[in-house]
Amino acid sequence: MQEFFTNLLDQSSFSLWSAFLLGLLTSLGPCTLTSNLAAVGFIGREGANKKQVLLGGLFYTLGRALSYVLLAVILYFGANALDISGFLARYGEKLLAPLLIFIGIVMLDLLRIPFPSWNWLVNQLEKENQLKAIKPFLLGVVFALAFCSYSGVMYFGLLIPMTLKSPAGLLLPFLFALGTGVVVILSTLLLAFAFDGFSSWLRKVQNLEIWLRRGVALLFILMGVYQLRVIF
Amino acid sequence: MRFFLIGLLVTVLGACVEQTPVKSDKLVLPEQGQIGLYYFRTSVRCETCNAIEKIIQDELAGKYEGDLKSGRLVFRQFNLDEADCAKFAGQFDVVFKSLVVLKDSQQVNLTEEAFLYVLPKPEKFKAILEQTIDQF
Repeated sequence: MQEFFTNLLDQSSFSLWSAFLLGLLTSLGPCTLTSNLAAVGFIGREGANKKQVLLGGLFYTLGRALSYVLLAVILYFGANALDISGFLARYGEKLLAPLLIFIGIVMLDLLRIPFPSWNWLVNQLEKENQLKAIKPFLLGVVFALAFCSYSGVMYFGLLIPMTLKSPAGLLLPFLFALGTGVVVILSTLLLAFAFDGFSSWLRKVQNLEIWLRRGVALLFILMGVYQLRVIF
Repeated sequence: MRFFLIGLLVTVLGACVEQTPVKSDKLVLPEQGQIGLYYFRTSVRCETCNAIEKIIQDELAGKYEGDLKSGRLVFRQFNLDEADCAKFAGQFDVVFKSLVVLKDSQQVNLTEEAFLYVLPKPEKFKAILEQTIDQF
């Protein structure tokens, strides 16, 4: 599949399409693939709530878009691209695996995050504005910044020079983000409809939410361990 | 259970710190007229990096074996996790994993091509690498 999209990219002379394809290619790289799979699990734990799952996929992708666009803005206004890319690419790849394992352990309620005000803020956003998708959104923001070798080169080496030259400018990082999130959007779409089929059965299963959360937490830990295996 | 999992986290984080370091080659430029194939890496490995390294090694052991022996071509790899090396890499505008081909005052950075093509189209990356070396 990577070969197919690389061929399309080679043939593309339209920067908007190229940015989207670059995003798609990035999503097939080992690092982004791992974080996207974890994200699908995270969003999918809302299994019985179709709307929530669909919104989760969209908001996760919007979170990624926010990081990519903001980063592009910073670079656009003259920040030293070498310094920023060097920092994010070198530390991002070291942090992704521990980050996934850490999120998994927090989801298992084995560790309490010592930031009560942060929890309060997230809870308020969810409650008052009915913004239930804030967590997937934040996950997207963080995962987008966890650059590794492949995604780092795709974003800083290929997308940013294209963005700086193209009249479409900041639309390109947005389309890049869409490309990186399309797998998640499609998976959540599939999940939502798959769950819809046996939602009445799901409602009968007691403590379903707890078991889904534990399952997803284990998924995060496994993804983190897998990522370590890839790295070393 | 709680302590077991927290222990796992600590072990994993510890493993991240304890990476097998790769020693850099001598931090020098190629000699006058010599082609340098300079590969900058870090201690953290990745699937793409491994694939790039394999192709470089295959080329050095194959098509460029003679050039390597005669000294027309020199291959050096550097670990950017070493402070001296990071400073040395600065002169090539390199801050992260990169592949640079250089001769005298000319240099070509092949990082983007390497990462873009090495997994889906390794033959294309190989062709670009050979073309770049041969043009010198």
